[in-house]
Amino acid sequence: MLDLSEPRRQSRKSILLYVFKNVKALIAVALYSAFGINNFGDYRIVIGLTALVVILGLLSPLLSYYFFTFYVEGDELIIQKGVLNKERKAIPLERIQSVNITQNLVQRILQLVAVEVETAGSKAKELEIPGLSRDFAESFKNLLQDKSLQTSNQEVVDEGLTEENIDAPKRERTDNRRELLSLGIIDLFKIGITQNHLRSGGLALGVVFGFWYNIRDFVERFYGNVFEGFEWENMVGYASLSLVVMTAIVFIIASVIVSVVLVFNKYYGYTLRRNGDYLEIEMGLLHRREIKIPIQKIQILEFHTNPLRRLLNYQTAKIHQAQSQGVSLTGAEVPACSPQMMELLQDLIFDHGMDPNASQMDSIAISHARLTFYIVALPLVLACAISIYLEIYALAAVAILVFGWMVFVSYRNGKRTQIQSDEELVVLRSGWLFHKTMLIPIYKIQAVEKWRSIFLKRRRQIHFTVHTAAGSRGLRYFNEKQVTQLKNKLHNLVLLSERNWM
Amino acid sequence: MTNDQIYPAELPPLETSEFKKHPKRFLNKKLIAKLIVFVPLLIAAITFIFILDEPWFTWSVIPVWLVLLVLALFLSYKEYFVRGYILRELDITYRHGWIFHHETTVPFNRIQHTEIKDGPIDRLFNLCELEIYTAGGSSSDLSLSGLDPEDAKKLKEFISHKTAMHA
Repeated sequence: MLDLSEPRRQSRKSILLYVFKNVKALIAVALYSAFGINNFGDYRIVIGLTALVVILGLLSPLLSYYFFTFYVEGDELIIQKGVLNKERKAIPLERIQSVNITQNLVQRILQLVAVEVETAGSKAKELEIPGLSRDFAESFKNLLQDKSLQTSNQEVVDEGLTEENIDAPKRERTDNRRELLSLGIIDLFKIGITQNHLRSGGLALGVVFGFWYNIRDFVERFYGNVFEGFEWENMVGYASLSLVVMTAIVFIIASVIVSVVLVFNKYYGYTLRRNGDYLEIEMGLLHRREIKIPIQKIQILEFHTNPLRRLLNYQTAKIHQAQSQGVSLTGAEVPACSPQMMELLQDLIFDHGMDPNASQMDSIAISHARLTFYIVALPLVLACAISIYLEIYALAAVAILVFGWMVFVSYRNGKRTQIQSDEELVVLRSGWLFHKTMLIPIYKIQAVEKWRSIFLKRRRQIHFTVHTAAGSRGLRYFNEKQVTQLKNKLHNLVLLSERNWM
Repeated sequence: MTNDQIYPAELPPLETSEFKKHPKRFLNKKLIAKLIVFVPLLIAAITFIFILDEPWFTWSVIPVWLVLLVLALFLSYKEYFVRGYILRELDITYRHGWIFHHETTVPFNRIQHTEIKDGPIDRLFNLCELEIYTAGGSSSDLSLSGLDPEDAKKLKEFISHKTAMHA
């Protein structure tokens, strides 16, 4: 067993890690110095810069390495770092939510990993120990996990803790290990193809625009003869329709390629395991991540899907743990869930299948459509006015079509919006093209809220929101009486629950 | 000792309780605070009248200011009569907002900590604000603004006592 009562340092190789980090800064300095020496030719500048290079490149990594120590003292993990600005962080072990191992490209080359300690109230990056050797990180992670489980068990079991209980989590870890899902190349390819291409397309566009001038120079240098007398600016005038079609095709292909590449980089070698009371996820090509989530601390389970994915009959699951507001979602993802897998996940995390006679509450679809109608009416009128003024009536037709489509989609979205609840779980469903299902265990709810704008008062409609430690989830436009009933019911269930939501 | 079984359906619904209103001077405080916000705007408007010296600007800016002021005061006035809380044995419910009306219920076994705040205008009117924090983040935190300091203290003590029982 690992002994951490003495302050420990990172692996010696982490000095190289810091050197790599500084190289980035050094490049800027080198550029500046090349520029500066030409202009001033002053030997003092040269000496100063050389000193800076030496300090940044050699001295500071050594110092950073020397001053970075960590150890366990009592019930706390303590991380000390900093040369001039000394920092000392103490993390109570029972507050640790999960311990993750990540590895970026540089760390990969050096065969090092970083250990990230996640608590509910902190950003993951804050509590990172970069530069540990693989074996050490592994045993360190297990140690922290066991200790944190022990301390929280201690609270529950009171003082009557026997030797057996202390060993329990460890034994579970080795015994109850089950692989739930692993994704091969074909799966990854499927995920990439069915990704939300609009986002990847936007990214591709950004890259293209960013390098446009470089590309143009390049193209003109090599294919100058071909494009002779063929100005880029005139192309629009030449063939507008074929150009539009071509651009669209290129755009789609580029987006798909970007999606596939991103998915491969993110999810390469994806495996999901159950390990005792934890879910373990491994993924990543350039930046490897190993995420470990205590099942007990999962607050929300979400399923998303889009029409393409529905064709292949799978959904994406998102697992949310408690986190402080403003922190970007560190939640884990299961990118491809078949219906059986979804059921398995739900069963695993909540240990509860939805009661078939669960009460169900449907949203008032026409209200969704009405809101969209009001929002898009003004742009529609403007578009029509412009098209009449310019005498391009096709524009008005397009605007009316888009308008009709948006109202129709929100009506369909409203039709599919519903809340189901039994004694244990509340399930929020929404979305017509993009299905979304949110499962929240009732005993983890922090507060229940109903709200409305003044325009809904007369219609006796109201929105509903539940707040959990992993954020708020809510749906809109329900019958006021039903929402009041649901709110009272959920709230009373929360009051009666003695279980620990943390 | 009693340990009767309780069914959620049998617990009393919230709707039978009465909302407790904030003291009347809270309304005055809100109206005056709004006025104070609008004074710098008026000064800025007048300065621009002299700088720009355009007739259309001169004639339009003061009416616009007045309309905005009346609107803001009207909203604050309406809002005051909506605001209120229900304190029950095991939970607290707060409602606020006239145009966007919210009603949030927080059980005591989910409250993390409480805090009493007061600003200079609050102190002028002998008022203060009680903040109730939950783990749900800022969207589910309750902030009962415009309480009498005595009441706020009692409330805070009551809630801390109840929260401690569940910890």
